[in-house]
Amino acid sequence: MDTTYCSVELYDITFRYPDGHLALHGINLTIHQGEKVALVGPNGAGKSTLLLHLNGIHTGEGQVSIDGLSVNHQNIGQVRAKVGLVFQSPDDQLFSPTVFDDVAYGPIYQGFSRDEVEARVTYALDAVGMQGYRQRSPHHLSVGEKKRIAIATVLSMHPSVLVLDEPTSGLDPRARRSLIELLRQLPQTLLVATHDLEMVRELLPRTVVMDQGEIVADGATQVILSDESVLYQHGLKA
Amino acid sequence: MPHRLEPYREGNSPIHSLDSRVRVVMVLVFILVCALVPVGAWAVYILLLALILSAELLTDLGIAYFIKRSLMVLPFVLAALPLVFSTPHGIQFNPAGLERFISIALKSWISVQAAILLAVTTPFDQLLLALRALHLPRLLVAVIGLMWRYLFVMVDEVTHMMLARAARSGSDNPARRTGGTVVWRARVTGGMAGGLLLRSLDHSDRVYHAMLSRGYDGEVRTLPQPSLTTANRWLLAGFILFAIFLVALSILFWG
Repeated sequence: MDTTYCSVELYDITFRYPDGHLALHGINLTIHQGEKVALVGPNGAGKSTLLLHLNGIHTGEGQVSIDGLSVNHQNIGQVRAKVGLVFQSPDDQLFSPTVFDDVAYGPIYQGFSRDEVEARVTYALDAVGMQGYRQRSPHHLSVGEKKRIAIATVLSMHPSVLVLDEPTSGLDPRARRSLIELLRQLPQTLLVATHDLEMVRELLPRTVVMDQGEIVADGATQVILSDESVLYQHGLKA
Repeated sequence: MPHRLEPYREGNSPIHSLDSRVRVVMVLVFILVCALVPVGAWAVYILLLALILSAELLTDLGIAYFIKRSLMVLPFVLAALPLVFSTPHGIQFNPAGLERFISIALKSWISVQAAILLAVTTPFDQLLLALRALHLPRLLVAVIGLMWRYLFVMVDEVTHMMLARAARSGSDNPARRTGGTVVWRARVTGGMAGGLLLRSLDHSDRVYHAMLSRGYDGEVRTLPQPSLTTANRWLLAGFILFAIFLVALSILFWG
């Protein structure tokens, strides 16, 4: 048995939307510290719903723990500081008038001093290579720039787990390439929901396949992505 | 899967199977009657309430479903509260004002139930067609239609933004005071509202371009609708006559 620290542990997660739709059914998943994991599956498989469980935005039946901390109402703040969740649409993620305000949101919320906020914003913008954009309005940036800023908005919280929903969707090849290089350099545990199998092959050594609210395959990316029948059966190849 | 805010509920009740145009006119006439009945005509209010409750019963959704939703009228009714205390001689209790206040509250409550009944039993496209059949200007109908369509998109955008904010509202140290200052939180919320406005402007541009590229020239065209059946015509005529009779009677007795 692996002795490294468990970064993310999901135990028997079942989640039903208020309208009765069963979105997740008996999900078990363990991700170790520093692991880079892809979450793939057809539209509506429950990938985004699963991601929203990692920081307690959705709470279904079952048990979620982050860095050994079991997610519940009392520690939801701590969990949200540990898990950096980057939403699919950067327009949802970027809600402030300037890039600085947006990246500073997390640290200001956490109650850090002005100097600490400044230092964290500088660190986060450096990490995504967007230092010159501090006073720009997110509204006027390109999609690729918005995606980078969206990642910076969670890096400024110094998360230990980064969770990204469709990070490469809508990007041109160059912006996609530079985003992949950016993700490669980040030391955090990474869980990426995506349809971009090329990126998965290149960046994420482990792949989890979801379909209809269940995990249907979990293993080394090389093995799973070379299994044509799995790819066809779960809508990853047509 | 219908949007959680979608009011329409499918059903096979007599109310559902009524022609939408007839239903729209009947509800509008009903609300007009509610507005025209004089203050203090309690018997007529009871009759109107009985009518709307029976219609609600017919939908199979249960009266509680409608009563719960109709309570949203309460905050607006409060606007009429000063009537109770205002007299020509200054601020003091006014029995006539109280009667007016209760009448207004009842009338609004009954009217809102009628509107809810309409929304719950009529798919929105049918409602638009009915408004067209009533010769509401095409442009107005188109604006109402687009508003409805994109209202849901905007609500989803707001929900996603608030989720994104919640996801970043955490703290690794429970001992530290979190949440920032009230002013800062207000600024963040203001920023969100401003961003939403900019996005909605962009969005409307894109929608307009998509409409133009499919041949939109300022004129909204719809397929011709079948004419009303004779039975529906009689139903409508009967209902309107009854409404006129009711208003005339109530003005005669209580006006």
